[in-house]
Amino acid sequence: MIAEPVKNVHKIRFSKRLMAVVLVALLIVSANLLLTRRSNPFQRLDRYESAAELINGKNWNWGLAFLVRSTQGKVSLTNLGDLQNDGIFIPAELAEVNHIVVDSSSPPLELSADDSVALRAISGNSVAISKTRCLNRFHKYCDVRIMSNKSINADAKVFVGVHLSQNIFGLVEKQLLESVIGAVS
Amino acid sequence: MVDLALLALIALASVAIGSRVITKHFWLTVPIGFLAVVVLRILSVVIATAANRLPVKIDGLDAWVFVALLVAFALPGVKNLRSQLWALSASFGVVALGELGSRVLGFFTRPHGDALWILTLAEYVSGGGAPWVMGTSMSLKRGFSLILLLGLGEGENRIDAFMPIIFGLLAMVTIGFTLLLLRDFSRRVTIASIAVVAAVVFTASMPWVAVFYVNGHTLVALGITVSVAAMLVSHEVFAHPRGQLIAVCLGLAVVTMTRPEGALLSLVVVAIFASRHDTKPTEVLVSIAAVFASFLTWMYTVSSYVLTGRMTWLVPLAMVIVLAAVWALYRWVPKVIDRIFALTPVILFAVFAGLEVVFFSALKKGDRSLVTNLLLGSGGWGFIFWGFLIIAAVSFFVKREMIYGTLLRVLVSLSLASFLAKMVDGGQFGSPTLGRVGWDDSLNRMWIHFMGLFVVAAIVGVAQILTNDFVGLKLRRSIGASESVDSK
Repeated sequence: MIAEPVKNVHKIRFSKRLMAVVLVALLIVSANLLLTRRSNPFQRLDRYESAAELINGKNWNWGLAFLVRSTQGKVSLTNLGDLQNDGIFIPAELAEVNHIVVDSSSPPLELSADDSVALRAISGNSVAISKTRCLNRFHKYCDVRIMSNKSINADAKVFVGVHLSQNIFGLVEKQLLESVIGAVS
Repeated sequence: MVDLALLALIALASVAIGSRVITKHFWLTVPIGFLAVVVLRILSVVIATAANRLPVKIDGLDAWVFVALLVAFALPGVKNLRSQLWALSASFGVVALGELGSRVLGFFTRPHGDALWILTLAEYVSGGGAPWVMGTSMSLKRGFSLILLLGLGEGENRIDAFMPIIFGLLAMVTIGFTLLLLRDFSRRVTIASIAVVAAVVFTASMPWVAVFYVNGHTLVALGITVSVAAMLVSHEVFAHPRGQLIAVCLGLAVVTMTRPEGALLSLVVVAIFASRHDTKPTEVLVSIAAVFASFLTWMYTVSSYVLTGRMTWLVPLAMVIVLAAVWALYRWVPKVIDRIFALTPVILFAVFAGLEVVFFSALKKGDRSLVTNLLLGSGGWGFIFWGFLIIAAVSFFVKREMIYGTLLRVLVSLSLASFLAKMVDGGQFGSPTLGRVGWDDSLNRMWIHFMGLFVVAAIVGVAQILTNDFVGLKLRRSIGASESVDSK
């Protein structure tokens, strides 16, 4: 059904109404400008940046897979465990995007305090730190240290998940880890 | 260079395809054409995904299929282009401004986790990645169609310019729709109303964030605004006998495939307009079917976790049953189904109020966050909603335009649907929630979906306050013979 067009043109009847409307608008505009915290609505980039470039250095909650890729290349991660219980979580899509193979079937290895100290004491270790979801969703995020050592293995391919302390996990290059705790199955 | 050529092709195709649906209002022609382009993009990925199961694999097949579909659907509309100079100027103008802002000036999204997630997957898609990766709950929350659109870039690059382009199209349909609704008001009233609302809206930060912010919200806003405008414009202005229905279905399909709450919002829009007496039952059934088909297309293409096991066939079966039930009600008790549809806002409010009572303590924090974000300025919306509430309150004392009442009903219903969507999202992991304080809370960002309609309703509201008679508190009185807008 089509409406009959309204013939008479609506005009402002009372200038008082216009004054009132403008006054209210001015109040709201002033409040918008003076009472709210202002921050840049967008950022400015000098050049095109890939998602990996944008993510690295931003300490993004889901940046672990990107940091693994950028520091270690296409590698396999084992012993990540179960997010709901004892482990850390890398979303399948972010692992796929970064060409990382993830094996969550076993829980992270528990390192004794002595082993933990021994691992950190090895000279030449390179460590990159990120974070990811862990230990059930209510705990939210845990720090993850990605550790490797070129003098022990220059061609790192496998990283093993370890539980370093309460909220800190590690992804330790397999041969580096074995140099501390012996063979890892 | 390839990206620029593709955007130019999309600008041209938007007009050519849009002009097959509507030729009279360029502010609808271009956005409708663009929504068709988005649907074709999704279709291209669906086709390429199926084709990639064959032994022979072709790199970049989805992009080639997209271009082929674009050309095939645009060609019949090429003959209309000579009469579409305004639409062509607007379409290429929006693309040029988007490129200027994004590529030349380097403006980019406000940093946010969801945006990074979407950008990552967009690069994955543009690099030839398979869509099944996006079937997890984490990826489904970030939507589908926008990722595919951004993933049209050359090599593994994204096309970031789509964000300002989508915002530009939203601005176009909002301005065009507003001016159509104000055509019976004097120029002075029109200018005063637009100036007042624009000043209030653009001194808040969220409308500016929405220009470059990488997320599906602006695309959903475009789909909703186009659908509602297309339903309210007289069907006679459409170039195709089914033009109005096509436009509405395109909008709802894009809304459904862009955000996880899109299907709910689309069904609410269908329900509200189904209650109008000039809406035919077949139009309602086709609209609902379009929403269901879009949802299933998304879920099957990404091998969604939602459709695993028995759900693979239970969900489509449930949808067929719903369609059959709606058809049966129309067939035998049309007054009942009309009544149900007319009660949409009331039903949504009853469900919302019920959940608020049942989960009172769980929702207390969310309720506080909602008030803090919307009314105390912490959500980036400044004090816009105070203005909207004042306009709505005063409007109950003046003779209201029929169209204002309709827009208010749409906005209230969609807002309630957003509350429910947020509660369901939070409820997956325990008790329902209504979010937290901050611009990046998902419910707070959902208000971007209704930005276009909020602006239109606010401007019409101010215009009627400036001109119409005060009649005391009248909740039901409206003027205007119909909700449809004649555009002769």
